[in-house]
Amino acid sequence: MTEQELISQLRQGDEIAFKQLVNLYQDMVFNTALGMVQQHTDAEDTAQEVFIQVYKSVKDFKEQAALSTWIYRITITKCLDFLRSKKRKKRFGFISSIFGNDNQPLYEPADFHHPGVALDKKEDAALLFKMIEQLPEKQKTAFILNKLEDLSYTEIALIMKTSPPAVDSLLQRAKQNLRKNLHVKFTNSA
Amino acid sequence: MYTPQNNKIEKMLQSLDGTAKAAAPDFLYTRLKARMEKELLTESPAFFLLQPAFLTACLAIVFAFNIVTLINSKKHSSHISNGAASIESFAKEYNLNSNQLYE
Repeated sequence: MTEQELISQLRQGDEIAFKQLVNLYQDMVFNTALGMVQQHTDAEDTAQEVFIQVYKSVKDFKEQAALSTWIYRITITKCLDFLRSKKRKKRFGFISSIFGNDNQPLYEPADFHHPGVALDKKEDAALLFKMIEQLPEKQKTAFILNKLEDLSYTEIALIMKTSPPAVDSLLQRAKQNLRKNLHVKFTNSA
Repeated sequence: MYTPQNNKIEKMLQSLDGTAKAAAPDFLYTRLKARMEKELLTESPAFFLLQPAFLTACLAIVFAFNIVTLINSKKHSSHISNGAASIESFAKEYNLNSNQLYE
């Protein structure tokens, strides 16, 4: 089935076509979401929301970009929405966060270990993910798409609706910030 | 500049190079389908009442109604004051005043 046939069947509400779409793109969506939200359960929830959004808005899809590019865009938007709401909850619930709703003390989340990272790089990658969390949204998006999804500058530019030189600049700034933050981290812990 | 710390940082930055892609959890589609069915079932029929477009339209109607009422009441009050003024001028013209009427 071609992409166009898949889209037209999705527009008709075909369940088999939707299942095929999920099977085709679930790894791509989950891997991107996992890199962005850095938590398995949250990544799965976000992936589900992405497919629900695709199902609801496939009728408005103008086919100006590839289906995968459109799904990437939805994934990034959903992940950033999730991270923003998490940040908001953290900010406004500061007092109640000292003790949880059940009066149980909250704990710092454990280090995130991406399942695809080689065993000898696990510790380094866990610290790097902590630093990635602090990057500005656009830098984080470009970095995750480049490192975890192995996308080219042109592909990232299409997803982020920008130009390849702008993506290059975002990645350079992301690396600079990561270097700076890691340097501060090492200096403080020394 | 080469320092052991810089070397460590560069090594760390390269730790995500060649990372294998994470596979989606098993039964993602089954769970997704269950969630969609649940959301469709629990979606309230009056859900549209909370939509921003509906709320804006309602506010616009209330606002327009207020303006029409205000304009009408202004017209009415000016009409009353006009009426009062004409009675006064009539009484003046015929040399009548309210005190004289009851004398």
